[in-house]
Amino acid sequence: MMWQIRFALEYLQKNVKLNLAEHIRGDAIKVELHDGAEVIAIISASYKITRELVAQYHADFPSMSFLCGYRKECIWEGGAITYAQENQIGWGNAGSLSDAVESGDFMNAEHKLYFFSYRLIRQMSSITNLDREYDRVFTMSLRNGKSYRVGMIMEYEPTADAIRTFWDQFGSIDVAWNINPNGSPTQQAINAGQELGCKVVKWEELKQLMRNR
Amino acid sequence: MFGSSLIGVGRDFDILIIGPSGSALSQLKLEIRAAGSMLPLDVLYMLPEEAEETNFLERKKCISFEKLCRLNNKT
Repeated sequence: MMWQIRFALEYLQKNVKLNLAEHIRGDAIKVELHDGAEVIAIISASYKITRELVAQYHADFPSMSFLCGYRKECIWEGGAITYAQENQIGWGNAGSLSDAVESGDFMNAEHKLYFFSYRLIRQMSSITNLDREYDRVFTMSLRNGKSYRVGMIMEYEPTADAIRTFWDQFGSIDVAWNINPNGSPTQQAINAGQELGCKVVKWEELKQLMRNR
Repeated sequence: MFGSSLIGVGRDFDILIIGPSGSALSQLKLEIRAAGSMLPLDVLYMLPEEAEETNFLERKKCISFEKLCRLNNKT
C-alpha cells in the first residue's frame, strides 16, 4: 500500500467522523460515512492529474465519488477538472476529501485551496470568458476587450522563489494573484514579478485591474 | 521546521529553507523533491532578506534541524 493511502486512512480514521475507512484495491479506498452510506475515493500519488488519468480511474472504479491528488505538489489540468465535474466526481486535495467525508457531499466537492477564489472570479460580471487551464491557472477575457492569464498563488506570504517557480512551471502569466487573504507577498516577490513581467497582486488590486478601461 | 507537525499533529512536515537563489538552490530543490516522493513535505524557500522582512522564523517559531536532532538524540 502506498504511503499516501496509509496516511489518508490514518488521518480519516483519527480526525473525521465516519464508521469505516479501508483500502480496497489499487489506489481506491472505501469509506462508510457516519450515516451508513458507502463511497469510493481514489487516493492518487500522481504529480499531475490529467483528463486521461481521471478517465482511467473512472473506468476502473465506475462508482467512484472522489479523486484525491494527495501530494502537496499535485497539479490538476483543466481537462481533468472538467471531466470530474461532468461525471459528478468530487476532486481536490486531502483537505477536500476530509471535508467531503465530513459533509457527505462528494459531488460538489472541489479543491479547497482554490474553491473560494475561483468562485469569486466566476461571479465577476466584468468577465466575459473564463478558461481554466490548471487548478491554479486561468485566462480571463474582460468586457473591455482585454485578456489576462492569471496564476493563483496560495502561499501565505509568496516569496520571490514562489513566483519564479510558478512561472517556470506554468509558463508566463500576466498576473500572480495571491489568494491567501491573510498574508501579503514579500517585496522581493513583487520585484521578481516585475522582472518577469507580471503583476503580483492581492484581490483589491485584481478587482481594480478588471475595472480598468 | 515549523508548523503543526512539530507538535505531532497535521498531515505535512513544514520546512523552511533560507538561502540565495542560484544553482545550489536548484540542486537542493531536486533533492528535496526526491525526498518528498516518500514523505508529505511542504517546503517554503525564502531569500535571507525575505526571512528578515517577514520575521518568519520568530513568528512561526521555527526550529532548526540541528536543534531538532540534538533534542531527538537526548530523548
